Amino acid sequence: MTLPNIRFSTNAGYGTPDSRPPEQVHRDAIELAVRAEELGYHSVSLSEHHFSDYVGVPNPAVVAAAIAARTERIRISINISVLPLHNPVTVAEDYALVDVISGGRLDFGCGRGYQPGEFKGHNVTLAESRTRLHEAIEIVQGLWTQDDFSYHGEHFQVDHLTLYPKPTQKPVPFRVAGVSPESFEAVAAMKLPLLCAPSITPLDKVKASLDVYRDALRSHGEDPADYSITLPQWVYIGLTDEESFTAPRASMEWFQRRNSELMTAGILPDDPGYSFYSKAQANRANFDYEHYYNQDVFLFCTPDKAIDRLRDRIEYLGVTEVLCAFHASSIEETLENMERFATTVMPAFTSETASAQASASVG
Amino acid sequence: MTITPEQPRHRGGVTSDRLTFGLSGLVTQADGTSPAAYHDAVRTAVEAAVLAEEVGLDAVWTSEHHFSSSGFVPAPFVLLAAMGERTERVTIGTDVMLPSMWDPVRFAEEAALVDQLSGGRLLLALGIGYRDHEFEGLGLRRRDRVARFEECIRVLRESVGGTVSGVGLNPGETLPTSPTPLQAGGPPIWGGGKVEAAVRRARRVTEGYFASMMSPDGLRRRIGWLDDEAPLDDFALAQTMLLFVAGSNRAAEDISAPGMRRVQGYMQSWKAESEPGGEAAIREEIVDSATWRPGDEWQAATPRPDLTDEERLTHALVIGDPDHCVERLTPFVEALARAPGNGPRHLSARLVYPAISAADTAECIRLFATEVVPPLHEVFMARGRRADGNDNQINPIRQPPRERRESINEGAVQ
Repeated sequence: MTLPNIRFSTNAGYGTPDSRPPEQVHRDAIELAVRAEELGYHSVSLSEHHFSDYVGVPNPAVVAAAIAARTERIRISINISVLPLHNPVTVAEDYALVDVISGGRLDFGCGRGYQPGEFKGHNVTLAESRTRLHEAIEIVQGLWTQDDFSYHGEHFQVDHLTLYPKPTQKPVPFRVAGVSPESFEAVAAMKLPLLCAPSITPLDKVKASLDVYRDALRSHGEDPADYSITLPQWVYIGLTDEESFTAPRASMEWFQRRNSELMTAGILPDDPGYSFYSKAQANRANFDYEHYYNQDVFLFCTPDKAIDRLRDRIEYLGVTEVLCAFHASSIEETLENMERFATTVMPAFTSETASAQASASVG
Repeated sequence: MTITPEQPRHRGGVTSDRLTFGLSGLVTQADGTSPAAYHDAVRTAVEAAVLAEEVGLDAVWTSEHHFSSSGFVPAPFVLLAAMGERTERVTIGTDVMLPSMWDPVRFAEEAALVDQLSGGRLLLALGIGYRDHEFEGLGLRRRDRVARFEECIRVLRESVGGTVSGVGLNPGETLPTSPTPLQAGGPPIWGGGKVEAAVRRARRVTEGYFASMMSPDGLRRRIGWLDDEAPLDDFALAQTMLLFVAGSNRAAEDISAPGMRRVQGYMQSWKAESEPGGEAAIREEIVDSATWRPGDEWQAATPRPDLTDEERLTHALVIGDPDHCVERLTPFVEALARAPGNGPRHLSARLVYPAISAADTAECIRLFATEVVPPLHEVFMARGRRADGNDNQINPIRQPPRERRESINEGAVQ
């Protein structure tokens, strides 16, 4: 059995619980992207967050442009732009310019968002997030590909508008995030590739969710094999089992605690679209690191075990890309681990990729 | 602990201890509307910013326009992030951005982010906007522009302290903002605009005034309005214009003509779109002016009944050899030097145009920095400003051109 052409990507290193000053946090993200390019990563991934110090930037397009100015090859992945918070015309302008500045290296990802504080601050209600996302996706895609574009929705109106510049890529790779089964079906209905966040969900449940997505794609007449599937993984490659367990622990516990706080601050219990988050939050608020470590939901292990586990997961889930969210106690250790993964784990898959390609060309 | 090799960089090059010089109009005006043409234009703009720093200029400036097939930038913070990444010392600024078209929280967040990324080099010159097409395309009304402009500045200022209020679903609630700007007090905010109300507003709600496209008399008159509104003290004064410099007057005219026809073309389109039947002008923006010829004066975008022809049309366009440019710019420098107050004084020129080769553009930037700037700085010091920036109109101190040239070279290796 040969594996498909697996791509390895990395987060931009925002999720580290150290006390760097803000200018250092953002500058380090750019240095990390430069290093990731040297190490052969396929893309570097940025996320959007507002009103907190949590693993993202208010507009990833700005940092993406800075990364584009310092790199030549690596793709810049937006994971994700919280579309319901913004005027979609503005989002279309921002990311079109990123694609132009980077010479066509943008992988756009969007989703409906989940942090109640972000919605309140943008004068948008959580209850509208799904319909706003749906309309905004149509508008961004329309403005990127058509002249004299019009759209009349419940939330947004666009009249005979032509966007300049349009993106370099035709089309820009466009993915939509989903966490809940409802979202998976909605993304499949739009016939767009799915983007998942790293989670503490057991693999069999991830498989079940992906099957929901693939079944929904088929019901819309699509072949799931035409759609990329990204497996996000929390990664720490230790030289021993002991290091693999200990080194990422503080970072992971910090991350889960922050995530839990921001996820439920001000959430309405009767909002049906977000009941999933209430359950997820309960899991994270009582986060038991050792429990999840033993369940193997992380990729916190030695290189040999990482290769075996990734191979199993790629095969089991039908994955085309692995997005690594490195977890370490500082940005220096994050960078070291990114290098360790690239030198000890990635080569196993690049050689398999090479042999798979060779046999494909023979076949 | 950090993986970033260098320490945080210093604030940008616009200071109040001397006359500083900038490169304006890095708006990536594209030579055509294809993504490839746009990519070339963006690359040219970023490389021009890098060169401006190398040759010792103090600032690079971009602006904001939406839905323009002439190839303007709708997302200045995105372009500034790229320019900031490739430069280390220059001020990276906007002349002008249009906060009336922005969500104030978004504007404050992105300004802070660019300030952080650039090591505290962001400077925001802001205007209220004037094209109906841009407001309408963003779902806004032009008539709200002054209120939106002032509200955005309020939020921008408040966000420097790490919180904003009066926004979002619960205006009574105070929200944290992240990041906050790196510069203490936030990026300097200047105002643009030509009419008296805009000029006086700049004095009331901002820290500087960025004049564009006017005569020395026009500049002096506006300095008078500003000073009348409130004593200038440390208020900043800046002037920008279209300029192209080459080895000879003839060469400057010949080389720049295609670029100037483009600039005049979109100006004519924007003028036409505000007149009856303007829809067609929006759809088919004029690429090249059919009427502009070298030697002609500037043809402005909007009819300005409150400006005289002398103000509107004279001196905005300077094309020639270094001596000619120095002669034409000297009255502006004198006006800046003689203005009351001791704030920053800045002179900026647009030197990058579509349809002009990269080599000719680079030569123009070099000539401006090495042949035009030093004599103008001498004029500035001779006409009033002491080196400590504290005195006006007395004690002229001449600075030998050679020293100025050396300081340019030092700037190039910083």
